[in-house]
Amino acid sequence: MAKMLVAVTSCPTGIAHTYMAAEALQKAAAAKQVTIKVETRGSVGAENVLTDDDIRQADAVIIAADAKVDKARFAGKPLVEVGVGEAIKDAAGLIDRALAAKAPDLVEQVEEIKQERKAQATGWYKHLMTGVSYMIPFTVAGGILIAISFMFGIEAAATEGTFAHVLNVIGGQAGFGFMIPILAGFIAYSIADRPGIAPGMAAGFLANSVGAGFLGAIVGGFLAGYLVYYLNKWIRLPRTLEGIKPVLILPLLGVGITGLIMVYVLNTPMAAIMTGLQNWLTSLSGGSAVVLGFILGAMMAFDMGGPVNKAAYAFGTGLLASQVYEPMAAVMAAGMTPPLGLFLATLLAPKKYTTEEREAGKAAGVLGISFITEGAIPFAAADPFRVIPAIMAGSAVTGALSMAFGVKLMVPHGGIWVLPMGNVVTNLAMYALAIVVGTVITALVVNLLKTNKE
Amino acid sequence: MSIRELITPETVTLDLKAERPEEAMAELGALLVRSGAVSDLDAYLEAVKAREAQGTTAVGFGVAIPHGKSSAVSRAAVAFGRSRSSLEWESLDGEPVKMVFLIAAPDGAHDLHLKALSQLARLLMHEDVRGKLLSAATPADVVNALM
Repeated sequence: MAKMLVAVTSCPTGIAHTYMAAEALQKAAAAKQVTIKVETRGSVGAENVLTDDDIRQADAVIIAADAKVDKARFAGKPLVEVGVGEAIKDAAGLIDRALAAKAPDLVEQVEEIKQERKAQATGWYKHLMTGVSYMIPFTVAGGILIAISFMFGIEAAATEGTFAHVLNVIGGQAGFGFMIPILAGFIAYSIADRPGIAPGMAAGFLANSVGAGFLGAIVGGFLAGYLVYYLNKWIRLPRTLEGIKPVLILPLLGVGITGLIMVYVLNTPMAAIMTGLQNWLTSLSGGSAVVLGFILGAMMAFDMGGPVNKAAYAFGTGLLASQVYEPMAAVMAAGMTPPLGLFLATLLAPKKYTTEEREAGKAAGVLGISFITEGAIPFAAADPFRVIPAIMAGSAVTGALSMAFGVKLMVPHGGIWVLPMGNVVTNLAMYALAIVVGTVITALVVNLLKTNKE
Repeated sequence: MSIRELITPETVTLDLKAERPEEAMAELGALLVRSGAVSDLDAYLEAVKAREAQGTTAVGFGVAIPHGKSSAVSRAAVAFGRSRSSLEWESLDGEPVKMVFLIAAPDGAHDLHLKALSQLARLLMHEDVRGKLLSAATPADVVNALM
């Protein structure tokens, strides 16, 4: 059977190179008796647009572009990506390379998608995610150490001088104690670069001292970041004094002004909101707990590591600093079921999946137990309208069950690898049940929606 | 809109004097001004040079296609110049540049113009077309080679 390729060409102005590359590829393909369809993304707009059918039938994908081309729709396909000039210069060689290209394995794809998303993140979302990513190590270490201290008996840590107490101090004060200042400090760092760290951490520390928790830290971090960013821009000193700006002026004004605003303006309302949230969450029971778990779960699956997922994740993680552990449990469980469910789905109904997808399924299983929700993306990209509702259904049920069982989780990451450690999670059996149920629901729903591959 | 409406014998020169890219752009740009396609040469050339700075438009096979989109362009047009020697132009395949197409597109150009330009770009990828351009004896031959 003749080989079939699809290609996308694109260049900065979109007047000439896009079309020359397309023509070169078509000519070279004809000479090799390879079928090719080339989508040109030029100034006329996208022409000869590739359909989902085209992409599914293609043996490989060529992207010859100097402008950004979204690769999500080609997930799982063997793909060669070059500058547009390369296609004009050596279209025949490019076609050979594409035909020889191998489909990327799922782990590579997921890594690439994560990197791309990171690079694309902008504005407040990027700042928040920077803060969260610097906070996570403190949360992980703190949570696990506290959990270990409980292994000596739930009251053991209360007695000063015992080893359990020492572990509890390290985990609770040196670990969890830094979560909020680090979150605020690195939100500010993301906005204002290095000068942001000190005022940001100061804001977080002050928020923490009155119990304003992660909400206070987020507000304080943004305040400190933008304040220092503009101070840095507006303050102009004679060249001879410029050297004291980063070591004296910015820290003093940054920490001072941010701190005063926190203490006199923001701390009180933020602490009230945080206390209200905490009280509401700890008093949640029955129906409302289930609803919260359902919503958090659906959010985790909705964009698989995108902004909505990260919002739910940041919510669960931030609450750890306020000793509220149930949403974290729901969030992690619901983040595990999408790839796990798809793995199970490929096992239950192999006929509904391509060979590559069945292979990817196995990798998705591993990503799933490790709480890497992004493992579901290649499946979702290939068939979003069937896959996303299915994984949302499974995750929502898992989140709801986890909340209904009142499971508490003290660490923000790690998947099943952290669960065997005693006391990291309460009610392990019911937690496992919640994950299994969501996994099965995901698999059944997605297979119900999918039709057999011929 | 066909390629014929983009290029006329009066925007063709078979004796391009330029030795460097900027000179070729200016020399061919002057033809576009004379034909009425470009109203402000400096403003237009700025767009062309900005595009060139993003990556060479000497696409190989001895052809360069500098181009720019600018409000200084009143209608889409193409000028062609063939050099008796060759130009110092860094090309994708390292071959010396002998033929230059200077392309002018108005801001927010109508799709039809851009479509014709894209057809021209595609034509240049064919060896027989390039052969005819190289052997053209008159500007009219050049225009006909592109039909």
